[in-house]
Amino acid sequence: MQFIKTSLLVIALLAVTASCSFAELKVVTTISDLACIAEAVGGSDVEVSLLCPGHRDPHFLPAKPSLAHKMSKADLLCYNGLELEIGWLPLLLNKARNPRIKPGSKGDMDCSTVLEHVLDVPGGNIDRAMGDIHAMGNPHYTLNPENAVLIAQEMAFRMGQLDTENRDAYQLRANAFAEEIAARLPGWLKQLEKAQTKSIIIYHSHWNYFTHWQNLNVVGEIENRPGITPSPRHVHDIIEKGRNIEEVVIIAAQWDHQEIAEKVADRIGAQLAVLPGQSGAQEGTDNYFDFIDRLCSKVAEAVDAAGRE
Amino acid sequence: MYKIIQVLSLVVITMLVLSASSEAAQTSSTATGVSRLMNPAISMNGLFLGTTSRDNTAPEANGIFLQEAEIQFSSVVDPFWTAELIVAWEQPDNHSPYDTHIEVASLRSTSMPAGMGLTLGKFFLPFGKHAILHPHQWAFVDAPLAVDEFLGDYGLHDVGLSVDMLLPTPWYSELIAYVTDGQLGVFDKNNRDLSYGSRLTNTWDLSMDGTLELGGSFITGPGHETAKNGQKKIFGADLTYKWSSGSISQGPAVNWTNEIILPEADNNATGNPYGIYSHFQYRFDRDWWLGIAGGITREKSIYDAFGYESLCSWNESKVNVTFVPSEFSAIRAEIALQERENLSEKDLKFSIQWNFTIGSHPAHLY
Repeated sequence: MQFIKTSLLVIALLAVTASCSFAELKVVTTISDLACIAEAVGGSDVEVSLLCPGHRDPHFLPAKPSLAHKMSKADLLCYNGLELEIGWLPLLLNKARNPRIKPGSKGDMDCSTVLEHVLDVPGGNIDRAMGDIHAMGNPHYTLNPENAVLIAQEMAFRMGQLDTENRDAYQLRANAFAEEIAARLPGWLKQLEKAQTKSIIIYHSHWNYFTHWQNLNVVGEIENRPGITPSPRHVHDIIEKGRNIEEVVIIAAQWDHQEIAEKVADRIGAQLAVLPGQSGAQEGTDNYFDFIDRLCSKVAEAVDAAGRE
Repeated sequence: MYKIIQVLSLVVITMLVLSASSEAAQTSSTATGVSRLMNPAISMNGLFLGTTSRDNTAPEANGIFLQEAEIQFSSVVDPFWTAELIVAWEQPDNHSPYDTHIEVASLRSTSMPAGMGLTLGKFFLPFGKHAILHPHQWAFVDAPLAVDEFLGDYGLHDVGLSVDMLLPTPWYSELIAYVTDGQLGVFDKNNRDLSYGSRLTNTWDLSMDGTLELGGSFITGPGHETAKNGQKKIFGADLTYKWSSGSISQGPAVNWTNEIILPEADNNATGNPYGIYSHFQYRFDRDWWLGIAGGITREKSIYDAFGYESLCSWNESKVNVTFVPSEFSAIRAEIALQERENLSEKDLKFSIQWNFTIGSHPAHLY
């Protein structure tokens, strides 16, 4: 009897310990760009956990139970939305059993709702003959720093709702983040001025917000149907197209299939820029500013190299 | 002339009515329009099989047939529940009529406190790693013999209630306990006793890209006449390693699942039955998987002169290659060999399986 009493006491204590939240606001983000912004806004008042590490393609993240474990303790879930995480986030939400972050709750933050303009929203009839397309539009909007500012402001508001004591601190940090972006924007735009006169081939529509922001001239896409290996015919067509254009730069993420990108670059005689797909994907890109710095400098290098050949 | 005017008037009136009803449909929030947004997500899976056996002349081992078609509805019910309905059609062989059954019709809570979950209705009972999978998720054409023999060929699904929770451990540890009606093929359906079961799953990240899972399962329910104390008990344990390259999108990946199933021996059995299998899958190219499997199942199937059962073993081995051109279709070619110990019975089977998914299909379990 004593043993049962002791066991029940231990279980009760464990349950209480598990349900106790510490003073810090627990924020979980799906992709690393959002984690960087959450860290910048939350500072030392929040504890940020990341589901999809920088080196992984967020389209295909395995829904590991350890990720649900992280989510089970979260007060705020910040996700990209526009169906980027459709293959794994609903499953993790179910496994996390956390009512604080369930859809519609205070802790549920779809960052795409702050966007003023979503690119590549498909018109007309859409079906999967077009590949695994995003029916709600291109979800890779964090590659435009102007969108990062909007996200930071919304995060400050949402963190302030959940942690009223630090509301002003969140807002101050979001403002500082916006000021830092504003200070760096002219430099980033100047860095790629020359690139605006070149022709860019992208591996996947992942780069559309970046190229749109920088006003780059995209002439083709290697993976023309998302999630489907490009057909030999399409690869041949894009090579033929590239051969008829001078000074082509190809942009691919480090998780894309390099052998296809290299083959296209080699046959065209184009410069290939392998870029970090999100913050933290390559060494030295652990914060959002360094990440955008790297994107701009790598593309600028490739453009310069293309000009020299 | 009068006839022409009549017909023209009818056409004009019909067009006006259609136009008005179309306008009403666009603004209405009842039968169509806004309410359509609240419709459940609907998807369908089809699994076609062509198979031929060198040694077995049974219809299920030779022919082309629809192995399974499945239609799934899932939706949020209200702030407190989500619901799921899965109806499946199976054709055991190309001579048999289609068998229709409800695999899942369940409600799942979304607002339980303290990291708990509640499922009500008909659902897959969480026993082991294979019995919880729909056939289109299987790594091989057929279920492992151990699962087929001790848990039923298409898994365990029954009507009942299941409670689950995350244990307060530093790693992911999930405990599930359930009670169901007991109307399963592995139990005595004439006995109205309930069945009970539980499962504990523990998962650890061995690296950023690799995961180890250790699980234990138990189920008990009304046994047949020969069952010890009138109760049939089945125990199980499983160990799974998963790894996928983080550096390449849809790059190399490994799934390695091992499971042992231990049913309690009946009163008149002369040994302990068991089943064990190992499934290994490797993605060697973006669209290609290689699968290798082996298993041993020791089951009751031989009776001696006094009517006592003894045990015999079946060994199975399988190799397959699967081409997955997109997330929504796959084609698989497989060679499977089953050998029965002592009796020198063999069955070498070659199969081609085609799998497709349409609609909004929920993500699969990890």
